[in-house]
Amino acid sequence: MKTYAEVFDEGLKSEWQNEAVLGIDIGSRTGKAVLLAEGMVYTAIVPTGVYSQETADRLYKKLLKESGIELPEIKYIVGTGYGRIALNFGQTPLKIITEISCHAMGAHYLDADVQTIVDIGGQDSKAIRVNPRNGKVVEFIMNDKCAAGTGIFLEKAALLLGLSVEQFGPEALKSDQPADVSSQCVVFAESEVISLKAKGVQRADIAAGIHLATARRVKNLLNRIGLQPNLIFTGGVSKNQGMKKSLEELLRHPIAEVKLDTIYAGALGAAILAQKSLREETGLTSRSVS
Amino acid sequence: MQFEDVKNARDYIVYSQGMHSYSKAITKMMDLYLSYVPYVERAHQEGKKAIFCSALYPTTWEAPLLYALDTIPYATGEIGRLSDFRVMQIAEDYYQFPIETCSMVKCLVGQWHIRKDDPGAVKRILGVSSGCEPFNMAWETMKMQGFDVHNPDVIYRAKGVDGERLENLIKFFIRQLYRTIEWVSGSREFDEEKLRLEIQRKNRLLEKMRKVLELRLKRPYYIRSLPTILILNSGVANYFARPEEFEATLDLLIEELENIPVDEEENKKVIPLLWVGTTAQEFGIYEAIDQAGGALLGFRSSPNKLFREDVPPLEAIAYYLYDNQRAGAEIYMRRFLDEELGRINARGMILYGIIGCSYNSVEREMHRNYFHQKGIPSINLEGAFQLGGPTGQVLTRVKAFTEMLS
Repeated sequence: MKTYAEVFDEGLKSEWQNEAVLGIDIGSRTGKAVLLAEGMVYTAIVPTGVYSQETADRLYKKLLKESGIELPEIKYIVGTGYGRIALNFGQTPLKIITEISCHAMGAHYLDADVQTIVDIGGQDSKAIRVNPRNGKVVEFIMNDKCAAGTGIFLEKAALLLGLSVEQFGPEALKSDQPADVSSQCVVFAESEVISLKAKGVQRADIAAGIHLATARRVKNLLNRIGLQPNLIFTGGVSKNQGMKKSLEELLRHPIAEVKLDTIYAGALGAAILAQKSLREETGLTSRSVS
Repeated sequence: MQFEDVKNARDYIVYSQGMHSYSKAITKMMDLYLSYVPYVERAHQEGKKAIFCSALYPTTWEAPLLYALDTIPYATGEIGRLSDFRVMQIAEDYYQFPIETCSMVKCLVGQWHIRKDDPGAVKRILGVSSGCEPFNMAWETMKMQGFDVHNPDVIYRAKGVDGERLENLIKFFIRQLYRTIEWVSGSREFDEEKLRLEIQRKNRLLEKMRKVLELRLKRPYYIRSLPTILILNSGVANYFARPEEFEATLDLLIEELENIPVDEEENKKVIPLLWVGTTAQEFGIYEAIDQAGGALLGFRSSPNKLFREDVPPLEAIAYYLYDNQRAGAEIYMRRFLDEELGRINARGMILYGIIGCSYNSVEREMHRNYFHQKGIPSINLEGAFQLGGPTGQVLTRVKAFTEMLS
């Protein structure tokens, strides 16, 4: 639990609203939710289950318990992510918005100067250009044709090196001589990793090579839409420090630091859009946070 | 039918028909569309002539010629929606088409394969795409399977080709048309007056479709994106095998559109979009666009030229081939797309192509770069030709694009 001031960009203070709203982002690997109420930001994360609604129920129950708020007090919910389609919250108004718009709005509230987002999730990666005046999407491009450049690729590669996902990034950071992993295909990369292991290449160097190969894929996306400062890194893979370092090195551009774990950027954007939708649809008078 | 019950392309049409139950014209159009393939196959079994041909766009020329020769144009694109992954497997496993090959070509090969041993099936194919290598491969393959394939050579008209050079092209194509007439009917003789009347009919239909598209600008959701593109790209191309019924239904649609009030407030919320591509078989894409507040009001295939009626009918067909917006290289299409963007006051364009079509993937990139420089946002989509719902990622892209423009 944090206050708005501890999370949001101070430059947007005049836009902060008090209404209790929920943003739920059901990704392919994890479900995230952000509850905004009375100037407070609550977050929750759980692994994505088989059924989106069950994942969403677990998320909001965690948040309600932490905040002491009852479901009827929540005025509006926005669902996003791949599991967004199947959501239902009874009487509470629900809107479905794509994760692309939500990540843009979430990133905007975390840093109002953000113009470019790299979002790497479990099953796709995206590059998004954001309008810094309003947090709306200017342009985006998605890679979903193959697993390269996605979280699942990194997960698979970590497994091949006998590492957990959490250990994979830190392991890459130990390397000062990243291995040359040329393949950008999961299937071929697997044989390349096995071959590098057989040659006795250090595990940290292979891990760093894989991170760089993934970063190259993402760089291709950015080449299409252009990189303009500030740059922010969102999605599940944003927790991976090895990936962050690889991106910064390859792009020769720093990734902006913000005050909330950017894995929540989509859910936060969903919550902000819920507040905006509530005001638009009900004509509710704004209660700005003092 | 509810949206949740939608499983395939046919379901989308039934669902869409239900959504338009207030309109006799759209209900009738969807009936004509849904019954087109069975109608052609039944008519053929009852002794009428039917020939597979492209008839994929309103600007194709086969329909007037074939109808004048008492032959039903059987649009190959329409057997796509009868397909599933199994027909693709036939092309890939039995005929060894590479997996990267155009999904439309593989789908058609699979569909024709299913028909090859059926004595009652249509086995004649009029191909008109000598520039498309995968299609040429498909036709050669089908010839070996006993199909009767005729492929008139279609000459490319480069920019600046006019005067005597254009006249030579016209003469060349008229000779090709005579060969085609002979292949269809067994004789080079044909009823010129009948062809003249068919050309007049085609022109009427093109004008009426144009009228529908104009009326839709102020009434975008009376007839939504899916039925619009089906009437435009399929109906005006092949008349759903029932020319008189189709034209009467088009008249009824115009009458309905002219008599409904315009909701200016509602129209302010609509995001006008230009569709640049063939008809997506994943019909859910259209529904996703409409649900997100977009409306396909402009099309690359919007008819902008009529057949000439001041020259003999074969000449009129030849002139039309070399003079409509699809003539020549894709780069020349830009001017038309610019006009269409202006006509509908478009906020963005959707560039759509079939998976595996290498030509089209280059075209889409060209258009994207050119129009981005002019400040027109676009989205690049690829879809499979065989039947099936659109993937979640495609729907995410479409929805995000319309959200971005809203």
